[in-house]
Amino acid sequence: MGHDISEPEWLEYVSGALPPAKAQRIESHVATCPECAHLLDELANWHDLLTTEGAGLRRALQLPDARMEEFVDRAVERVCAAAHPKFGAGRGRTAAEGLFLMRSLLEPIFGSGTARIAMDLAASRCTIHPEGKLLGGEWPLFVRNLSETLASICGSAAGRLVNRAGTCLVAQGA
Amino acid sequence: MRVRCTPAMLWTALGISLLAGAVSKTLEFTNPGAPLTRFGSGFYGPLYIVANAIAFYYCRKICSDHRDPSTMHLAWLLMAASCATAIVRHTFEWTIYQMGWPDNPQMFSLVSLRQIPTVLAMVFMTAGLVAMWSSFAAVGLGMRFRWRDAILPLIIVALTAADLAYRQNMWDAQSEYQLMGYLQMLSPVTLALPALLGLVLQRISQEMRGGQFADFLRYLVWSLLLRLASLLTTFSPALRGVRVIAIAGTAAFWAAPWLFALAVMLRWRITESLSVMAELYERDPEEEFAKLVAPPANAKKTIQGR
Repeated sequence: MGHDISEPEWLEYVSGALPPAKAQRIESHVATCPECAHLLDELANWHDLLTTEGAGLRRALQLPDARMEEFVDRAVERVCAAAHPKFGAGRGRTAAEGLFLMRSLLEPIFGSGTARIAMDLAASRCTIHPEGKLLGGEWPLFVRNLSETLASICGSAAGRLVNRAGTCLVAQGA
Repeated sequence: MRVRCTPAMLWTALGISLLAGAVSKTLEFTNPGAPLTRFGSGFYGPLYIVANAIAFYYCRKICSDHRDPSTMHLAWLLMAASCATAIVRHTFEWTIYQMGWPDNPQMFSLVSLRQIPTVLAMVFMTAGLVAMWSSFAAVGLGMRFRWRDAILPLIIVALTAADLAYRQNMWDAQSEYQLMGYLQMLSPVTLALPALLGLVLQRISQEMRGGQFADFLRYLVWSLLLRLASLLTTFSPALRGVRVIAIAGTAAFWAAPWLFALAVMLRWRITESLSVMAELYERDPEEEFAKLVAPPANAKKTIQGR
């Protein structure tokens, strides 16, 4: 990701949480930059998929076990069908991909609002690149901050999960 | 054999309490003074004690999952203390009931001593909720309010003020211990405060935008509001006289502690799920992340594990 737009800004833009002035800046840039237009397209697809499947999963929680399993099967199948190969296992990930996966992990448990606030808070305590990117070398600190933030409101089990999941996401620079 | 408490069990207990409360009040209207009516009226004691014992057990477990010292640790400790004092209150009240109260007027002053644990329980609960809010506020949740968020608190304040007008009708106002009478007069306020704080937690659950944590907060808020609503119908003679409202109010009063126990148990189940997930990530983190976008068979295993 790049071109003066940080990862948090992309993610907030896609989820509609970015202030209008910043959103307009992204829209003007996307209109003239095919690379960013493609990236936005991908992010928007991901966001739509996760939102739809997340809402469906929440509804499915009211279902009996057999229906729940069937529903989960179908939901994951649909997400997989649209998944971008670079999010697969077996390779190092960038900080941006790490952030995205971390968010996917946290949102069903803590909610998208909590995940965003906690990740923003954790990132604000790290050294940020002048372009607003979270540097790969800062990843361990980011994970520690995020773990502490979530542990303070959700308990040490939440902190442990973030720590363990986060340390496996080897960021290789944004 | 170890019995594992499930949400279905607590929902059943809540349903039974709701029904028992409604039946008991109906009997009071139709057969006042009958032995069955008397048995029914005293039945809420054990139900309350069990519900609070379950809530206490889970509050302690959640408390131990938070770093000591921390604000959230304190919050859960205070909520556990609130459950413990509620158990003391209901055990005392039920014992006195078995000894002949309210038919024996000599016991009016003795039973009024229940106001001490009653007020303490609500003070602990209020302090626990303040500590919980403070923890969420430290990360930026529960700090933004809208005008429409003020509507429900204003209604609560108005209803509480109206209830205070009937304070002379309260049971313990006639106690020979003047302090007990004053403490009971405070009860609409001590119940309104947690309900008001519950509304702040409701705002936090909205800011969370989904997730299991927001569900737990919503249950907590509903239990606090139910408690207040049931008390308002009990105190106000105008509402108490309307049978349907009185029956519904009593049913809500009996069910409220079960809803709280359910909220706390759901919160503990989140901790359990998080621990299982943390172990899975410890064992094979790469596989677990792959499962976020993996074939259904693998993903199903992870979700079942949670």
